[in-house]
Amino acid sequence: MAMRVPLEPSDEELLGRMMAGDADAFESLYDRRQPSVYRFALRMSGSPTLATDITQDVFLALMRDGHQFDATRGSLTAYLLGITRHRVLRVLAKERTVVSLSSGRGASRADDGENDVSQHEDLLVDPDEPIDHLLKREVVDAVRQAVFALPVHYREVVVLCNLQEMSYEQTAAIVGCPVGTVRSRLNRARAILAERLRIFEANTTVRCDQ
Amino acid sequence: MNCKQFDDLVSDLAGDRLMDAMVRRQLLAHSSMCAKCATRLDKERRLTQVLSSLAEQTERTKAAPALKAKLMNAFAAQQPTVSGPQSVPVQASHADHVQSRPGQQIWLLAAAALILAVLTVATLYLRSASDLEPNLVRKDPTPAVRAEASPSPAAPANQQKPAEPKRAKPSPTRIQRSRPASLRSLGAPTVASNNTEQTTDYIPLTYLADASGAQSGVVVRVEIPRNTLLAMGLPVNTERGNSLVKADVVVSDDGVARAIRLVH
Repeated sequence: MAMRVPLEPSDEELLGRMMAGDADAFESLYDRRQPSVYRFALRMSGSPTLATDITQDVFLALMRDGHQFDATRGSLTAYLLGITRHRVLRVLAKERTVVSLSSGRGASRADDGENDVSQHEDLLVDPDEPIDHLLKREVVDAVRQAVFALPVHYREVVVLCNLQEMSYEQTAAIVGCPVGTVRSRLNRARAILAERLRIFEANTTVRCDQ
Repeated sequence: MNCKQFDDLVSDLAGDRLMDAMVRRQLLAHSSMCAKCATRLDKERRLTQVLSSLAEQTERTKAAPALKAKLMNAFAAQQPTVSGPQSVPVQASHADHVQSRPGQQIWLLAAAALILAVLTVATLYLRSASDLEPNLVRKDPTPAVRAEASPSPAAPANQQKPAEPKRAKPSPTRIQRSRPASLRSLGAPTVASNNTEQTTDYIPLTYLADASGAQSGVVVRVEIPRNTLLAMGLPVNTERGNSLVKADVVVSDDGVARAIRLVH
């Protein structure tokens, strides 16, 4: 006998119910979309504190202005990430901070240093950890710092396209520019990152050989 | 394919993004023949690998549970509170939420049905009322409304004009007749205070079987919010609910508003 699996309500259905006052719909929408909003804010700002504040702002804005969402213009995810992007850019412009996340040390001015990303990633060094894993972690850390060092308009396309696996079209809708611009910015950003990675690995190889 | 074209597409190739099979073959063929582009492709593949690891590291991160609780409270706080059984308390359980929703819907449906019924009756009445001629007696206005009363001459209270069937739209200065006898004994029709004003027909506001209190009255010029007119069942544009609308209200001697017409 075939089992009928109940279909999950779409984002638009949940939003409609939420605007009518359905708290359960809001909760479902929050559980579904908060992770991508939070991760985008975190990957752009480097600060869990800022990412939490921005996520809160985004969902408060959704409660207040959710009726402005137009499904014909894009998905709710793109709408939420668009709001997130505006908040992040405003915060970054104010803070003028590039967060340095090096194995839990260093923090932005907005971060008290106790809540940086390392807490999420368990970067404590394990003496039994194989050296190649450690090197891999160092490489990943180096690239993360390189991403944060990118200009904001390059950083956002790397985060959206390469870290959050958005398509060029989705990314273009979020950042508000043509697909061609997204592609060219991503191309340029990756060229910079690739070169920095090459330099880092070359220096690491030199250190290991000495 | 040249190096510039390869450069434009190398990150898509390294990231295994969906692309035309022919284009992919051309890219690979070019990289096999061009050392510089082959090196570029290797770097891009390496970068893609590291970026994937970076993405995995933060893939499971999400905001703290405290943020969710805060937002749920904010959501509950911003919902309008309604007195009576339909109100949903902020800390209500899930079961309470489920039970109050049908009650709220029934209340809204009942309110909508009532408004629809009033509008339907008013529309039907206006269509069938072709011989109303309320004879209005302009008594000495009270000091509070002296400035607002229409400047038409008074007429004897017991004067009755014969009903005249009228199908065409009346001029703005006449009051169209209607069936209810309660309004026939009222005085002469009023005249608009200036020729630039246009008025609707008078719409009865009460349907009393005993109209003994409605032998005479005054016409009072008022300004009413649109929302009030809507609550009275009149079809008005709700987009400017708080704006004021001029109206002439027929108030009989017993102080009851008998009819209203809108003034443009």
